[in-house]
Amino acid sequence: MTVPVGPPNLAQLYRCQTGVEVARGTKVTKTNRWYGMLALQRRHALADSEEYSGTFFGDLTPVRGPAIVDGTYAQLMTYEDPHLLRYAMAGGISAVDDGNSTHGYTYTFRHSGSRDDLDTFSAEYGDPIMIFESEACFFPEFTISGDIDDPQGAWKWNSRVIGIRKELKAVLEDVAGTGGSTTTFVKSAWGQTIDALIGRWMHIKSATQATIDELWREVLDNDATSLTFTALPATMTSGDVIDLYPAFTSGISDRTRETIKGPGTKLYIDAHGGTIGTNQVTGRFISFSVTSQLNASFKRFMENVDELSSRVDRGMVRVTGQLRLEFDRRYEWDKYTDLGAVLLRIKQEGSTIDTGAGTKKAATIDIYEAVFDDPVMDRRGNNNTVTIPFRGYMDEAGQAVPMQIAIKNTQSTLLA
Amino acid sequence: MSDEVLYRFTPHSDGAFVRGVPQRDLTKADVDRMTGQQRADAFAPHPVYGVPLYTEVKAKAAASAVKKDGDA
Repeated sequence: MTVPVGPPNLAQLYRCQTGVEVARGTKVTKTNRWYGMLALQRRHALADSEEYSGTFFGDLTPVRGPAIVDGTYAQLMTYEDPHLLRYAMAGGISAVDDGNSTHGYTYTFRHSGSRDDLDTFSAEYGDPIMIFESEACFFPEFTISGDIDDPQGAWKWNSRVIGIRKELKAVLEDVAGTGGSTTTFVKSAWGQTIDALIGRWMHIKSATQATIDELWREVLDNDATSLTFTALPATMTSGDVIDLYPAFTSGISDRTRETIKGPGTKLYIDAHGGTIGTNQVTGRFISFSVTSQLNASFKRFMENVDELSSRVDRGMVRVTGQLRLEFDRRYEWDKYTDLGAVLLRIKQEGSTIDTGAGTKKAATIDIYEAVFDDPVMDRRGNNNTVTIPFRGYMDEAGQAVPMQIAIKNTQSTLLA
Repeated sequence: MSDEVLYRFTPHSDGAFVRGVPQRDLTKADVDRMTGQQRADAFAPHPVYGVPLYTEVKAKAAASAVKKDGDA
């Protein structure tokens, strides 16, 4: 293979790995891989200051405003990713085992009415070799949606993300070698962990042999004192200096996942006080979305110089959403005009978990007291349709929460 | 010699794999085709399970010791 010039720096090689934090804001080892796009921005912008020097030049002394770290995370939903909800609805969730021969595990998430019980995650994300790290991340707002007309026939997760810092992962800088060859760099008594540097990119900052100066190589192997890589055109010698750029946390394998498909999603609308999941809406259901807002942010105090405090400012939880239906029944309109509440269930099932018991992977969103808001009439092809927003009220007499999301899969523990 | 198994496939969890790497024991030819990042994902211990997805048949410690002797 022809050796490529330089590190990859290719957007398609983007990766995101996470770990669930023990103490909010304290970095932890990453243990899981996510397959969506975590796009966090660090905003610490230069601020204007009113200064005069008797010239037209007013930018005399640079000063910054407060730091903010926020962004978005989006992915197609799978039955194997219920961990997203631990950072959006409730942390500390354990699985409930159905006890069948092939075990199925259900993770049930509900907003707490009075406790800040969200988990937060540490993340490393980016493209090789520029890998960012952030801590205390969670989702203050998320939307789950599905649309039978969407070219991506799957449930989608879109969310805001906030954290307290964003930094580039550390580089091993200015490492001076004591020897080597065309395929090895040696530093006596270096004391590196065997195999821990595999996957990192080595940048030769200065070399005795001019033909290898400024070249890059990916580390294919390492022991305590040496790196191994694809052959260089000349030998590395004592005094050559390298930078060793970071790699993603090693040892994290890929996971088999099953997408929650859009087609086949069932919508149930039942009268409040009835049994949720009884009356399926068929022949009319086109799309749905459900949004949860925590109205949360991170506080800042004087000791927070370049980052935010890990203390969270929490506000009112609000659950909203919308349904799009063919407009050929008056039930929803009547409920809207009467301010009447309904029970909503949106459910999809996946592959079979236990054939004998007939259990399947499943995702279920229950809204316990949905009240319709101003509907919008429109058309889909030649049909009249209605898009009906709703708000999930706290079901005070029943479930005591506005919403519950349950996901069943074959994982016995919730991933990070 | 390229058929000699260097790493055993020892999955630590259901459905675990490394994209682009065969889900079976690996020969030298397989390993030579792997990128550094794939090797890091496949051969380093998983941070939760404590074991790698592919376990080296011949421990590297001995080879490392030989190399260190040579360095010194």
